[in-house]
Amino acid sequence: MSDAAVRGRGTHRVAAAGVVAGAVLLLALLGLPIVALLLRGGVSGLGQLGSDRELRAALWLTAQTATVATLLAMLLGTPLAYLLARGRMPAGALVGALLDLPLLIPHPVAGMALLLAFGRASPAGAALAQIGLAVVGSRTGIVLAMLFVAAPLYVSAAREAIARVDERYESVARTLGDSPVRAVWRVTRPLAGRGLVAAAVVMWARAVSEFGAIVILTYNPKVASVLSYDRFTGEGLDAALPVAAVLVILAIVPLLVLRSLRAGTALGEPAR
Amino acid sequence: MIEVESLHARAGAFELRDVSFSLPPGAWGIVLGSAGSGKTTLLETIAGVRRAASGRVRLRDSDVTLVPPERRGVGIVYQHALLFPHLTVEENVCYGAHDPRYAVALARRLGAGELLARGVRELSGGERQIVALARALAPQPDILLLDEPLAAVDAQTRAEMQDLLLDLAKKYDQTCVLVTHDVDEAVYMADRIVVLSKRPTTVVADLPVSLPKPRDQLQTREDPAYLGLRHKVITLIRSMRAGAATQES
Repeated sequence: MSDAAVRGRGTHRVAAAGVVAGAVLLLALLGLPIVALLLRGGVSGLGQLGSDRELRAALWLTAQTATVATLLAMLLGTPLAYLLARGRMPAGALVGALLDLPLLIPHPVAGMALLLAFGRASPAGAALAQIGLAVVGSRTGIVLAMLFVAAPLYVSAAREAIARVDERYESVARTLGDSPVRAVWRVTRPLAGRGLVAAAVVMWARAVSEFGAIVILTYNPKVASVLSYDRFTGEGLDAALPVAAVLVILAIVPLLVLRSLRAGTALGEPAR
Repeated sequence: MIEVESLHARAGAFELRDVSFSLPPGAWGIVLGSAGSGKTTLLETIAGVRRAASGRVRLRDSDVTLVPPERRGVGIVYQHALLFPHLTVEENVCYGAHDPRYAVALARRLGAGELLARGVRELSGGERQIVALARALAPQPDILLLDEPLAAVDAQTRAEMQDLLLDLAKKYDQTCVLVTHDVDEAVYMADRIVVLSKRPTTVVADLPVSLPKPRDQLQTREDPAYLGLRHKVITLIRSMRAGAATQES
């Protein structure tokens, strides 16, 4: 073997070792805090579920509000995702940028923006309060905060799921007698269905984990993330750990659902 | 009857420019043109799934330029079949049918009887095309648009399908537009051959075909008129390619 070939192989080994070391370092940075949290608080957190009424109430409230926010995002966001996916949204680039904005601004700032727009002093907030949907210190506020920070994730993922379905399927359905809406319902919806469910799961998980925007709008009643923060500031790390660990365990559920959805066949791919 | 008048349409890089031709009821119009000449865009504009920028599409003596596809009574078969992958073959065939029993009987006649219970992912390319054809014919449209529907089938099946398509069209008095690259297929099936140029797409030639009917795979293809027309079309396409090559150089 020539000297050049030996040097080349040595360089390749060094590069491969560097890649592996980098990956291990990153995985350790991501995994160690989670493992530490689960080891310190996991067992006691699950144990407290039976005895800690406040924790149970916070988890229930979190699940309820995240579900409502997700359903609202599906209802309002799916048609928008469709229009964006098919390039039929007027000023689509602007709308896309607007949807990205909530993902980029710090979430407490999002909470302040919501407070300005829908707080008691604002016309919209006053109108909502009149019909029993006061935003500050209420479930409505929690849902609104969750919707604001997590709905863009749903719309973005739903748009990708719909875009993966060949538009010509709808064209064929229309020549077979379907109206535009019926073609979408009978063809695009089932073909994009798995992706839409995955988008909803991502949104739900993000809504469950939201803290910054919610804490500005609604400290009480407490969702799980606010309860965790409340116990940390009021009683210290040990008191907050069980709540935090339960939240991590809860996050694993949508993760498993997502993985099972992604493992399935991608129906939306055009037939070959 | 199909009448396309000064049609302009655009789909991405494809552009139809001032395309005009007409077909009387029950006729076969064959569209010939090289890849990228906008043949599919033309069919989609006739079907109404793509909007015309200007010009008119008239079907059955009515201006349908602004009529949505579901109200045009036009069947379309795409080159890649585009069967709905979440449905079985039978569900595909019956999708737009007014009478599912007729759809199933038609599928059997086309040779897809044994495929009915299968998922579309289990089908070969040729089987997909046959099922797509059955699906398009099931609502009994009197206008059929076919985008290279026989490209994926073997030579023997292709010949049989050509005759079957001609038979069905005659039986149901269908007016058909068939896009193909195959000059032999074009001359064999045509009442009229429309040759399109490459981008922007314009009509280069509109040739009437007066070969006797019914056509026969042996007799028709040995007819001097068939051979003469075939020669004429191939010469025309060669001269178009030579012209395009000269322009590019």
